[in-house]
Amino acid sequence: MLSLEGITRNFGAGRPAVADVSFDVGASEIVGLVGESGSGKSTIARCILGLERPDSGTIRWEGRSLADRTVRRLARREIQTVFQDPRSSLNPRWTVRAILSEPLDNWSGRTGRPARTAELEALLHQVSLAPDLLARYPHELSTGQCQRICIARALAPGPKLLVLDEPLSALDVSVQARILRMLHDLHRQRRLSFLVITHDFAVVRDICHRVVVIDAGRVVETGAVDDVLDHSTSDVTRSLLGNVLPFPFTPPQASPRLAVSRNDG
Amino acid sequence: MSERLTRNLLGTLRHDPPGLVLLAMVGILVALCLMAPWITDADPTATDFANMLLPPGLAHPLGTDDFGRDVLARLLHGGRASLSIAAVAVVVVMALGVTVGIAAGYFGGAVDIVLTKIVDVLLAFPRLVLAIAVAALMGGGMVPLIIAVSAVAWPAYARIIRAFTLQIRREGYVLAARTIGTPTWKVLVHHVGLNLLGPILVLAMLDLGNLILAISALSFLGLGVAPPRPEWGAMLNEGRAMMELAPWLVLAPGGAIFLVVLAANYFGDIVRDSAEGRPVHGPSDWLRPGRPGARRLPRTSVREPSAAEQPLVALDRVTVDVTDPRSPYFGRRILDGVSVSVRQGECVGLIGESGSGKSTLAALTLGLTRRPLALTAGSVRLFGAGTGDWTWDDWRDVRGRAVSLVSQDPLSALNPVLRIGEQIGEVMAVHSAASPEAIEARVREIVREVHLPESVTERYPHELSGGMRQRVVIAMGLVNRPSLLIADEPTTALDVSTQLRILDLLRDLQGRYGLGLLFVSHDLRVVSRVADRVVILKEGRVVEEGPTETVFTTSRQPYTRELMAAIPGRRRELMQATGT
Repeated sequence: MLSLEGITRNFGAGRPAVADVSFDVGASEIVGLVGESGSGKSTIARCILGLERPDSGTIRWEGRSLADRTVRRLARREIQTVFQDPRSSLNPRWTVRAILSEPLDNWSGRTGRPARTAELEALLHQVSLAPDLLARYPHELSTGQCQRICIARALAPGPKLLVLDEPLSALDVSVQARILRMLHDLHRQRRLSFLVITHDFAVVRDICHRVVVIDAGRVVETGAVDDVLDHSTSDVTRSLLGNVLPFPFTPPQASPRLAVSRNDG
Repeated sequence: MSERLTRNLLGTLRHDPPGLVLLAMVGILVALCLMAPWITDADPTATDFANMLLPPGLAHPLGTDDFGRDVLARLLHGGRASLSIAAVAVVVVMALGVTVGIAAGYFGGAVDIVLTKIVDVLLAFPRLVLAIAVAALMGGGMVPLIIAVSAVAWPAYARIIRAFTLQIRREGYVLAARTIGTPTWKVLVHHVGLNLLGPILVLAMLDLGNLILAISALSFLGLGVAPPRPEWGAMLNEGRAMMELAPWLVLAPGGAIFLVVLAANYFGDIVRDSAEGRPVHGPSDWLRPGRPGARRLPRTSVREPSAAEQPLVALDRVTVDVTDPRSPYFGRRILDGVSVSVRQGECVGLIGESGSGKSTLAALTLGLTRRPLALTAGSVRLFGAGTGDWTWDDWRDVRGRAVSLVSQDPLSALNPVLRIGEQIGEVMAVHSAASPEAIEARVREIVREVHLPESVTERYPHELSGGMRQRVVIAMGLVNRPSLLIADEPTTALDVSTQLRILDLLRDLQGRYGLGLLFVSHDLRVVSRVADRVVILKEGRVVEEGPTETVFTTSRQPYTRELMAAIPGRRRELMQATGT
């Protein structure tokens, strides 16, 4: 459905932020894009969303290049995104009604107020929120509720692919679990595709079918989640996997104080 | 104007009698000017040579000028001209400045370069000289006056608005609007423009005074409203020749200009303070000078062996409420009878989700509880001493020396314009009289201890990665060899792999310094790696506490089990278990 072919993006001198990245996302597939911060994963997301143009390479949406205006317009509707920080991605001066009406106004034209209210309530229902939230402002909501509003906004134009950029990292663990459950349900009901961008393999293990590992702007490994997680052929993947915090943690018996590595990420 | 701004504004004004008086005087003056024809039936331009230069009296409350014209009538009619010109000029300036500023800031690239260059060129001229030149070229009169004043004032706004736009452009909601297909003009008006309203209003208020002065100055030079029509600046000029003979000719318009400009500036300041949140202030006793002799906590006490017997910090059934009736959360209980203690060499993990009160608790141990919160029951003992009657100075003496904080966001904890070495050294210099050489040696030592290269002391915060910055913050916390370290979500903003190294570093340093560590986090994985003992907090109450291993392996508490089930990597099993 979405395919990236040799995407490269340079920011001035030095090594490119993204170099020759190719992968694709199939219909109703959940793909994880994993890498540390600075590995170029957000730049890839911005290219897919049309917020940035790649210097070379082609991004295809259902077989047609995004460089084409009409395809880009179509993709603007069919590819939607949820950002990392739900609070900053909601305009603080707008009510939930205004926030969710914006994509509807953009794509399905204006309708009468009763019809619009029904649409908005249906959206809220999809993300398991009560309809009385429509009159609230973002600062009156919890972070988890804000993230649900962001997801509802992304669902409003009727997308086929959701790009989720670290959708859980700003949330508490129990809220994370609930949002993850909801994404899982959305995937089943709507047959949506997800591209989940994260630095945490634990999240990938939870929902993804396939995973693309990138490091320093290049794809280092790609494959089915279980293959990559259990039989990785790449050092980068193994070191990322080694960083997953074990739980519960039992310190080694011989030396309770761990050796500290001398460099930083 | 945002709700918060309005609320702050009204709140500030209520406590500011001079501001209220000024506002009232200006309000009356403006009203009088607007109603000029009904207040005085004297014609401001009618000459009466029989009554030249009369001092203020019953017939002419402010006297007459050298043409026998009534000064009060001229003042009020002139005010209409002055104030309406200023009002129109403010609108023109704002419209131009905001449009250019938003366009330059939002589109960037070539648009930005061209617009910024134009602004830079205009700003290179002295403002008033340029205005005089423009007004002179166009001949006098009201319209040229407005054009001249606006032409020189808008570039400064454009520049400020551009800077604001650059910030807002990167906000998540602007990006989000673009990705849901909102047309650019709508993004600019609805998302960028409306969020700039606050700063724009503040700027308009602050500069209104300047504009009135500029208009008066130009009129004074004869470039404004053509005589004999009255205008404050022009009246000043006319009265200048007779200043010694008839001072009221100068005092009346001068006083009016003074009053309006003063009120505009004063009100602008109030609006700015309201928009930028409350001013930084300490508790009520912060103005008192420090009393180095009156330390409640002898420098040596925390190092004595006996100190190890009692907890470094002991919170005993503390209750924290929202006590400020102006807060929307007035009456809410944040902490409810919570007891937590940390002994020397012990790491206590404080686990809780947002809203559980864990950060409030951390603030309590540092004496940083602020309005609208207040400690309403229980006690906080630090190093064996009750802190109930500690003053700001006592707390200041302890903070950074005996107890330090490592917070979530290392970037905001560091001063962007100071080198790393200076920042760490400053923390030490505040609390000791050590020589600069000794401080430098200690800074180098602590930098090595947090596993950073020594060269880092010469660099600025923005040159470092997130993990390195957090190491610097930890170094600042430990430079004075405190006995207690409060770490509030110290790894949340970091990558998983960096988290791991920071945790191991904290654990390592805790052993080396024999620190008591209060580690606050919502992430059980992180806490389980460092804590000897955990306290689980939910909605301001302790749900469970005990040795880390016991709690995480054998807990029967439903909430603890729910938290454990929610850990990433274990959720797939959870989902399958619940049949999803």
